[in-house]
Amino acid sequence: MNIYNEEEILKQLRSANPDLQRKAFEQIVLFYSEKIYRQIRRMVYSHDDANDLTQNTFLKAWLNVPLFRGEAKMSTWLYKIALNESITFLNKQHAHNSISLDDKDVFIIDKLESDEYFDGDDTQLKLQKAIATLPEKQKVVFNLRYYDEMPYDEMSKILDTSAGALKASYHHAAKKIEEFLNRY
Amino acid sequence: MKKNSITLSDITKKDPFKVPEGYFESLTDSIVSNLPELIPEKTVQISLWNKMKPYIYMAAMFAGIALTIKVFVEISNQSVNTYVSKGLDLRSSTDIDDFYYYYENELAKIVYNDALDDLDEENY
Repeated sequence: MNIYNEEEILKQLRSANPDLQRKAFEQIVLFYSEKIYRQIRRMVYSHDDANDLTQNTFLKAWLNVPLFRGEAKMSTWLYKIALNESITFLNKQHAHNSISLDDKDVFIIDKLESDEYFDGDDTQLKLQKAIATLPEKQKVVFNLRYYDEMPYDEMSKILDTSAGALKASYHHAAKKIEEFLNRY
Repeated sequence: MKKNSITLSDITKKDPFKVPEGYFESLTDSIVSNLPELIPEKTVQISLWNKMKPYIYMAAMFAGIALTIKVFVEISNQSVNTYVSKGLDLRSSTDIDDFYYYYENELAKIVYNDALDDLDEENY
C-alpha cells in the first residue's frame, strides 16, 4: 500500500509534467475522496447528491491545480471547495423547492426517512433533524467537530473564522441540539 | 437541566449514512477517469518595447520636467538680468517692490500673457 506523502505529492503536482501531475492528483483523490464525500453527505443528506458534489469538488480542484501554490494544506483546500459546492447546492435547492427556513428540517427528515442509505435509529434521525435546524455555518462547524473531531485551528483555516469564534459556535450548536432533543 | 434530559454524550457517535458496497473504490476510479487534460498555461512573450515602455515613459516625463524647469529658470534669469542691467539698486523695500512688479510683468508677458496680466491688475 502506498504511503501518502503530501509534501512529495504537492511537489509532483506543481511540476510541469502532466503525467506526474495526474498521478499525484490520483493519490490525492484516493486519500481524500471518502473524507470529502462524508463531509458533503452530512450537509446534503442524499447519497446521489453527495456523489455528484464530491465529483464536482475534485474536478474543480483538478482544474485549479495550476493556481494551487501549496500555501495551505491540501485537505484545507479540498474542504473549502466541498463546503462551497454544498452550500451553493443547498441554496439552489431551497430556492428551487421554495422551502422556507422553518420547513427546512421537515424537508430534510422526509428525505432521510425515504433514503435507503440512511442507517440510523430514531435517536440518530432525531439528531439529524436537530442538526438540520442549525444555520448552515453552525451546521458545518458542528459536523466537523462532532463527527470528524477536527481541531479548531484547522477548522479556522477552512472557514476563515477565528478558533475562539468557532469554539463558541460549536457550543451554541451543541446547546441548541440538546434543547431540541429534549423538546421533541 | 432537568433530570433524565438527553445530552449529546448519551448518543452513540456514529455516521448514520451508508453507501452502496464498494462505492468508494468506484468513486475514486470515476473521479480519476473523468479528469480532463490540463491545458498548459500559455507563456506570453513580452516584447522588449513592452518591457522597456514604463521606463522610457518615466525617463521622458523626467526629461520634460527638467526641460520645463530649465526654461523657467532661464526666463527668470533673463528678467533679473534685464532689471539689473538697468542699474537699479535693490537695497530699499521700495526697490524690492519695484523689482517684483517688473519681474512679474516680464514673466507674464513671456509665459502667461494676458492671464497673468489680469491677475496683476487685481493685485496692484
